[in-house]
Amino acid sequence: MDSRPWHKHYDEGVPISMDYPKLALDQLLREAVNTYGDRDAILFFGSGITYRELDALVDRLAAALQELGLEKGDRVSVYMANCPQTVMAYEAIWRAGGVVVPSNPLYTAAEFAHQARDAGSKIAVCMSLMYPRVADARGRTDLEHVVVTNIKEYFPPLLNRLFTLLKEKKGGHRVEISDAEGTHWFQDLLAGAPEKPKPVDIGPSDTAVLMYTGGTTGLPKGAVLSHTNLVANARQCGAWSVGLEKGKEVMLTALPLTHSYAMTVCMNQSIDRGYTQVIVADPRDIGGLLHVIGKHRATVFPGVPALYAAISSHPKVKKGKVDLSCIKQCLSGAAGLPPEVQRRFQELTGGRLVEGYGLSEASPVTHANPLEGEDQLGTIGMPMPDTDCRIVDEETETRVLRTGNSGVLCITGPQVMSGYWNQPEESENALRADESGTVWLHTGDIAVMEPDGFFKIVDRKKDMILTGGGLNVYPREVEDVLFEHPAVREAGVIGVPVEAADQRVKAFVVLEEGEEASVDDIIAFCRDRMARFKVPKQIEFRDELPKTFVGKVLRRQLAEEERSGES
Amino acid sequence: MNKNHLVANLVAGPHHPGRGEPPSAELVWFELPNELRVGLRPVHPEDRDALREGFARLSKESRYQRFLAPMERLTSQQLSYLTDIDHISHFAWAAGVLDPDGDEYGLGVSRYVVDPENSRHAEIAIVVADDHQGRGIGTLLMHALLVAAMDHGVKLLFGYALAENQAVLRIFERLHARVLPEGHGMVRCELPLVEPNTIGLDGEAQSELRWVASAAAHPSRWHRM
Repeated sequence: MDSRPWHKHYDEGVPISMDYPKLALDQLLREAVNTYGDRDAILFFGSGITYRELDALVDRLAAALQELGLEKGDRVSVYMANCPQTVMAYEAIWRAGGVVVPSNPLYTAAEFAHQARDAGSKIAVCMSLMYPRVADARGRTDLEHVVVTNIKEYFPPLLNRLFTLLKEKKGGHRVEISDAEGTHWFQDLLAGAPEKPKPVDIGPSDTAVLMYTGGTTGLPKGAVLSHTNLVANARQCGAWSVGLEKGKEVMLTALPLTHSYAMTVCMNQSIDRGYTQVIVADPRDIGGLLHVIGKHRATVFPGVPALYAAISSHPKVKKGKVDLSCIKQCLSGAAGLPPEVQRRFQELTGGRLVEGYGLSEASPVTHANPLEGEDQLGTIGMPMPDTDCRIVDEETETRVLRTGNSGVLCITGPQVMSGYWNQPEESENALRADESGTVWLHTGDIAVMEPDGFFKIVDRKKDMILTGGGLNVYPREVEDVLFEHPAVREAGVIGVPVEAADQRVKAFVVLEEGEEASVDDIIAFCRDRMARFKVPKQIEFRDELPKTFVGKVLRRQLAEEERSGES
Repeated sequence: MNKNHLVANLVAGPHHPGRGEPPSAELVWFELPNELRVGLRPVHPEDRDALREGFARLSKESRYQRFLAPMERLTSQQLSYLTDIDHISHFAWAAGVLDPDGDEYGLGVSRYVVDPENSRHAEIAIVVADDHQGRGIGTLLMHALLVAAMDHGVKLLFGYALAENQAVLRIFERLHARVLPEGHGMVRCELPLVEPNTIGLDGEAQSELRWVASAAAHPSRWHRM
C-alpha cells in the first residue's frame, strides 16, 4: 500500500520534494535585497522600509549587538509586540551569530524571568512597554544588557508626534532607563554602531531559535530550531502557496511574531519570497485591521479562526462597507476551523481559507489543506513536501497503525527540531528513532489518517485550552497557580467553548474551611502570576470537586457538568 | 506463569512473625529482581500518620498524579477514608522496608475501591515514594492488588492516569490492559480479571497474600487461630 497517499492530492506545482539552500536565515534577507532591493519589505502604519533599508538597519543592529559582547551561539531574548524593530531584532541576532529566544509579549515578569534564565539569555531586546517587567525580572537572570525600543520609532512622522502627545505616557510606552546599568536605547545603539558587523561563520545546523512551548508538567521548554529547520519550513510554506507570485504579494502580519507561526509563515516566508509585510501591532483592533487590509491591498493573511470570525462579524463588514476582495489565500492554524467561519470568510473575500497544522517543535508548519484543489473540512490537510507522517499506538508508541485507526501522530521532516534546550529526558521522549534510524517527533496529538492521506486530529494527549490567537493554556499550569492561593484547597481547570473554535479558561475552586476569597481576589492573584490569556475568565466556587472512588479529579466530569448546566 | 515472568519472589522476612499475630505485624516479604526486599501488608487505621507524612514527602508531580489535581496534604477526612477501610469493598496494600531500628518505613500504597453500583468493578490507585520509583515496587503493589481483588470477586479493575504517566502505563501495558483515551490529557485503563495466571507472583506468594488480605477483612479470624 502507498504509505504516502497524500502526494496525489497535492495542487499542481507543489513538489513532493525540494532542495533547501544551506543558508542562515539572515542570508534570505541578503538575497532578497539583490532581487527586490527597492520594494517595501515592511509597511507599518503606512510608513515603508525597503529591503535595502532593512538590510542596512540589520547590519548596524548586528554590529551594535556584537559591540555589546554578543558572540556566536549567545541567546538573545526578544520581548516585543509586532513592530518593525521585532523583524530587525530577529534578523540582526541571526546575522551576529546569536540565537533568538522569542518571549510572548503577554508574559509576566515571572514568566519572562523563567524563560530568560532557562535559555541563559545574555541580552534582551524589549519594547518600552515591557521594560518594567524586564527590570523586575533582571536580577533573576543572566542578562548583561537590555536594549529598549519604543513602538513609535518607525511610525510615520505625523503619527509619531501625535502618539508622543496623546498616548505614549498614558499607555506606559515612555520609560526612564538612564540610571540602569547595561540598558540602552535601540536608536542610540544604531546611531553609534559600525555600519557592518564582523562576519560570523554560521552553519546551517547552527541553532537559530529557542522556541518556548508549554507543557502539561513544569514550565515551558525551549524547542531548539536550526537555521536549516526554519529555512526549510519557509520554503515548504512558499511551495505550498501555489498561485502566489514572488516579489508581488502583500502579507498581513497580524499574528504575534514571537510565536513560531507568524515567525515562519509571515516573516521568514515573506523575506524569502520578496513579499511586502504589513505589520499589525494590535490585531484585536478589528477596525484598524480592516483599514490596513484595504489600504495596502493585503493578499495573504495567515490567521486563526477567531480572527476570521471577528472580521466577518464586524459591523462595517456586515454592512458591506469594506472591500476584502484583495485577499487571495489564508492559512488558518491553532484550532479547528469551523465550517461557517470558513464559508463566510471565503464569501467575503473571494479567496481561499484553509486549515493547516503545526507545532513549535516543527518550525511549526507540517500539514495544510490544498489551496487550489478541494480541501477537506474538519481535517488538518496533508503533510507538506518532504514531510512524512505516521500514526502509532497510544500505549507503546511503537506499533504503526493502519489507515483509519487513531493513535499518536508522529512527524519527520527537515523542519523538525533537534530537541529541547537542556532537557535530555524530554527530548528523548519527544524524538524517537525507529528501527531504520529515522527520527520521529511524537506530537502527543491523537490523529487519524484517512485513506486519501488527509489527517484529522481527534484528541490531544496533552490537555490544552485553545484560547484563540494560537495562545494555548495548559490547565495544569493554571491549577498550580490557583492552588498557591492560601484560601484555595482544591482547583480544577477546563476550557469552556466560546465562539468559533476558541475556548475560555474556567476554574472550579474549593476554598479551605473557614477561609474566604472572592472571584476578584482569585483573579487578581492569577493576574500577578500569569499572562493575561491564562487567567481564568470564570471562577466557580464549589463545596467539593467531583471525584472518582479513589479520589481522583477528572476534568472530563467537570466539563460534562458544565455542558449539562449542573453545579 | 513462567517463573521468569515473576515480578518478585516470596522470601522470609527479617523477622517473619508466625500467623496469629495481629495484622500490623503481618508482613509478606518479597525480593524484587533488583534484590530489593519489600514487605507488604494491608493498610489499617493506625497508618494515618504514616500516610499523612508519606504523602507530604511526595513530590508535587507524584501528588498530582495520584489525585489528578494539585494537592499538598491529605485532610483528616481523606485520611480516614483511605485508612479506615473494610478490606473487601475497599482494599489497600502498603509496601515498606524496615529501618535499622526495626521500624516500618513506607514506600508505597496500592488500593482498589469497588464501584457501589457494580460490585464486580473496582477503581485502583497506586503511589510510590519518589526516591523509590522505577524499582519495581509499583509493579509488585499492582500484582498483589490483583490477588486481593480476584479473591473478593472483582472482575474488572479500572484506573485513571495522566496520558504521559509512562510508569503506570507500562505496568498496565504488561498486563495487556486496555488503555482508552479519557480526554483532557488523561487515559482510563481497564483490566479484566479473568486469567489468574497473568499475576506475576507464584502460587505460594499468592496464597500468603490471600491469607493476610482475608485476615484483614475478617479480623475475628485471628482470634480463632
